[in-house]
This record gives sequence, C-alpha cells and structure tokens, in this order.
Amino acid sequence: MDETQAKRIIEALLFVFSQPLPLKRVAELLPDCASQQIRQLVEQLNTEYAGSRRAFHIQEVAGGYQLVTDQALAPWVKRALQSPKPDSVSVAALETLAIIAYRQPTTKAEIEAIRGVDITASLDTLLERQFARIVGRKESPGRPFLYGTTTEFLRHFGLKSIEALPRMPEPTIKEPDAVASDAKS
Amino acid sequence: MKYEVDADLYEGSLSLLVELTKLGLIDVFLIKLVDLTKQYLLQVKAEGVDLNQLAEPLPLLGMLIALKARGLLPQPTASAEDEEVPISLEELERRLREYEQFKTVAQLLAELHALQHQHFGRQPGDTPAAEPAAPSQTPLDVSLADLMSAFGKVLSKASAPVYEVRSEPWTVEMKVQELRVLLTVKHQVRFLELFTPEKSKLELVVIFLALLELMRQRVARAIQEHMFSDILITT
Repeated sequence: MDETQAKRIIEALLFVFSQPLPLKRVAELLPDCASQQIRQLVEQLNTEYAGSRRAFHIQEVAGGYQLVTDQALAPWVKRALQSPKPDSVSVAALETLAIIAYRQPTTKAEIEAIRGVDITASLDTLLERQFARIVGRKESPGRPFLYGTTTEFLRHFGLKSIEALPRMPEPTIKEPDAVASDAKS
Repeated sequence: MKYEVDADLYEGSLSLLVELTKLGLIDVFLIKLVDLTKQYLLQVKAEGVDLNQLAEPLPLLGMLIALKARGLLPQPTASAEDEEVPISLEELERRLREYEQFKTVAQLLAELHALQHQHFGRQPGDTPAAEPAAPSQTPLDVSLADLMSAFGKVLSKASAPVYEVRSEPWTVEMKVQELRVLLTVKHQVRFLELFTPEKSKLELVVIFLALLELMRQRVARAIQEHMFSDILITT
C-alpha cells in the first residue's frame, strides 16, 4: 500500500470516530504499516493541514488520535454548538483533581490532609464527571478506596498520557522561620 | 473564581487575605466582616452567577469569622487548642508548601482545561456506525457504581407492598445458590431479568447482595456489549 492511500485511510478513520483512536487500533487496521510509520504519517497529515490552513488538525490526546478544530475557530464552533459555558471545573475540584493526578493512587484521607478541608463534594463531582475513579483499595486499616485519574481526564485536559502532566513546581514559600514566628505571636 | 475584596485596609483576592490573617500579618479585628458580607450578598443577588463559583468564597469567609471569633475568646482556650494540635512548625511549613504546590498545578490544570475546550472534536452521537462496531469485541467492564445505579432504578420500581417480616424468607446463601444454578443453566442473563418488580424490596436487596458475592468470588461477571446497553451477568 502506498503512503498516500495509508494517509487517506488514517484520515478517514479519524474523521469518523468521535473518541480518540488509539495508535494500536490504527495499526490493527493498517497491518502493512508499523506504528512508527503511522506516527510519521499523522505528522505529515498535520503538516499538510497546517500548510493549507485547514480548519482542523490531528491531536494526540488520551492515548489516541483525534481530529479537532483549530483553536482560532472556537468562537464560531461554540456558537454553533450553543454551549453556554465551557463546563468549567471549580477551584476546589481542580485542587482535589491535581492531588489525585500527581499522587495517584491516593486515598480521600490523604487528599484531605493536604487540602485541609472535607473533599466529599469535590470528589463526588470528579467521580460523576469521570475525571477520577476508584482504582482499588489500600491495604491499610479500613481498606479505604484508592482514587486515580481516567482517560476522560486526559481527554478534557488535552494530555497524551499521565506522564504528560506539567512538572510539579518548586515551592515558592520562602523564609518559613519568619512566617512561623509571626504566626505564633 | 477570583473573589476580590475591596476594603479600606486591603484590596485583593480573598484567599490571600485569609492566608495573611491566619499567619497574623493582618489583624483580623481591623477587617470589617459586615462589609465583606455585604459585598458577597451583592454578588449573590447579581444575575447570571454560577452557583458553584458562588459557593467558593464561603469557606474562606467562614474561616475569617472563625478567626475573629477565636480572637474574642479568652486566652486559656488558645492554649487548650495548642494541645489539641501538636503539629511541629516544620510539619506545618511542609504542609503549607505542599498545598501551595498543588494550588499551582491546579491552576495549570485549569489553563489546560480551558485550552483543550477551545478545540472541538466530533460530537458524540452523530457517528452511530463507528461506536458499537469497535467495542463489541471487548465488552466494557461495569463498575460497582454502575451496578449500584442500575440497582437503584430497579429498586425505585419495586411495587410489592411492605409486609411484616416473620422469618427470614430469603438469605444471601439461598440466592447465591439460585443464581449459581441459573448461571450454570443459562450461562448469561440480563441484569434486569434478575430483578422483576413484583418482588419485594427485601428480596431484591438479597438478590443484589448475592450477585455481588458471586462477583467477588469471580463466579459471575457484569459486562456491557456496548455503551448504554443493558448490563449482562455472565459466568
């Protein structure tokens, strides 16, 4: 099979699927192409799209490929879809989610120890929106649930995989001694 | 949401104000809580506000009130509190730094989320042909939460009236046995078939417990052929 045909097939597959299509699935459908070659073909397609200023490109997200529209076109698409607001996530839920993402698998008690507040509500929101899920139980007294992130999380945050999370920043709080003595007085 | 405070003494985000107050850098007695409350109430009454975002400043405002209340109490209470929380300063610093890190990444995640929502993929639902074809080969795993919600629906439909229970008419052991037999004979049975609405709530609950027990023993498995299809119980 020549490259042009393979590219056309990839394009057709991505056009049809509404979920990110894993590289493995593409490879199954194109037995003549190695995974590495498919990667290259996707890159070529993206270069072609960019070159001819297409309205979409292929995004690698949540362990798969997906055709998405250009960022610059968001206002029009948004209006057409009549989505009133970009279903935002509350600050509380984001903090809980951040802890789950970087510390997974982790328990509710561990998250609460970091955030210093009860997280029942924000955890429920995350489970309901399928950004987090129960991944198991911790082998400690009470066998509490362990929480982790989902592919839905990766998809909504535009991450290829969990390794693509931004690096944890260095703490910026300095001179803790001064702060501490102030707090005591 | 950035909740801004505009008072004589301080202007800026509410969370910073609370942090500063907690650390004793701002005297809580100089902050007029009445004004803050009024400002907040104005926002509540404003139109088109997101309720979720509206709730966010509440714990912070509550914290301020708690701080002020604590300041009003006589000294002994404060020492009693110290005994309650024997956390070392180092530990406190460590926690503060840890929390601050997570606050920063939470902000990053918010940006990623906003950015990703500028890209639109194909809308789910308009490609019916693509969806069922792919997953049918590998049945989806049904989580405990899915089972619970499916069972919730069944339970709400249970129509048999409630009677006084004399003895234990159904036991989990009995139902486990029944289900085992059923699964041996039929190999696969629809989740909803197990729970006919004529049965009483108690019996339905016992069957559900028996089902969970069988799944725990790995005798039964819950699967879906494709998304949104009926849950199947299989061996």
